[in-house]
Amino acid sequence: MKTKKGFTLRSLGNEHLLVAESLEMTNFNRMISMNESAAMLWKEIDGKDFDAETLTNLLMENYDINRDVAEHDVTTLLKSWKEAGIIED
Amino acid sequence: MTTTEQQYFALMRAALWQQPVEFDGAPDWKGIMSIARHHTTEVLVADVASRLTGDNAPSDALLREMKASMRANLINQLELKQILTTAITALRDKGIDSVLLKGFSLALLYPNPNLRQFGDIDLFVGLQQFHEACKVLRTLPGGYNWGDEVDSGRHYNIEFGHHPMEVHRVSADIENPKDLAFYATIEQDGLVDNRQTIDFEGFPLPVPSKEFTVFFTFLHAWEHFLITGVGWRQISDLAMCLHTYLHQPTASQTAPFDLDKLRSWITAMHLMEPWQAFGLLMVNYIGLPSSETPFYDPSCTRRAQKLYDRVMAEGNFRRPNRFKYRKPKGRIAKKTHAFVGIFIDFFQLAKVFPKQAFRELNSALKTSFSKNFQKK
Repeated sequence: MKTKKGFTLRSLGNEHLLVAESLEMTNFNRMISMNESAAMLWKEIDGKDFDAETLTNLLMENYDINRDVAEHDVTTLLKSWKEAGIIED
Repeated sequence: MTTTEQQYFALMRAALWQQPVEFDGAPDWKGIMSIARHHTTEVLVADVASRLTGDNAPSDALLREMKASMRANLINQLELKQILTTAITALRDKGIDSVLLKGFSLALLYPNPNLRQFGDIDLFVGLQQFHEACKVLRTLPGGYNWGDEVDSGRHYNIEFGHHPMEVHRVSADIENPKDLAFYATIEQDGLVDNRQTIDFEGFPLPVPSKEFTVFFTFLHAWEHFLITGVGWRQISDLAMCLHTYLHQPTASQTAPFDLDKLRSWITAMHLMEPWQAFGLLMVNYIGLPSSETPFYDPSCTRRAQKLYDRVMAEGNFRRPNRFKYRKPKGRIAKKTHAFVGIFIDFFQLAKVFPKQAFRELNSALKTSFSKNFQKK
């Protein structure tokens, strides 16, 4: 998997927003709000090839959670990123 | 200084220097946000406020408002960025050099550029390329121009959607002919001979020289103070310029900042006293270290206090109308009204900066007489 081009992660207050940079794509619907851990993962994998295992390992390295919880969170996250159209195979 | 003002400045310092907020007492959010709006700094303040937790955190309703204003500012910036890069590229393709004044060139000096608010684009192209540049920009998609550039003095206005762009033939309104002549040499130095290119998220953005950026940002704040009211937005801009160029030179800014050049410009334009008063405000209220404030003079506290009072009362573009009545009709009445206005401005300015007030009065009277003479 890869992140799609044309998105930039920006932080405003306690919000992390993934924003479509092009004017045609830019409106409130193209701002995807991310929590702290999702933002951390995005920063790590942006522009690189990655898979679910990469994300799981990153979560376990950065947060005090076991593999089962990390895998479950990554599955949920990848589903939402695919639905949002911000990653591609 | 009121407690609310202290709290506002605590938030501003936290935003500008990425420091924790130190509050004295429970925050008066209504009052703080009112000051922040008055000075076009609500997004900076909202960024810090929305990260607070516990008793000091704003209410949920206010947090929603803050998030909405931060997002709206971001959307605005993204739209302006697209217009700006399209315009500069189109000009470049036709061999026309342009330099961005204010806007992103200042926002990029903030710790988080997305928090600096601005609503338009100021592009300097100079006298020689002015008409050609206007012609190119008029043809860009989405552009709607109003007025004829031949008749405009300082700049030409184009609108892209609801975003105005000012195409500048000169960068500042200076009435005094001697000052204007000297300012032309400053423009040549900072906007032509020594302009720099910085990276703007992958786009090569032409911006003024470091010295011009500092001087122009100060001059812009001064013009606001003279005419429409200056806010902490302009003062923060100056603090961020000074901090960036005098404290943390980056690889792209290897040449040392030329303080002698800055001093000569400020002195030649007779603005050292205002400079030093603004310097004290930056140090005392928004936390710019005095070591990063050139020509710092802590002895001008009385003048700085008067300046502070005016800044707080007026804010960015918020100077109250100096007349309590409507502009009169009739030629003589209008002229009398204009002259009275000149003297009201003089007395207001003289309370803080007497020397500059006399210079401004002199220029305003000359301009006024000259206009009347030309009409006859």
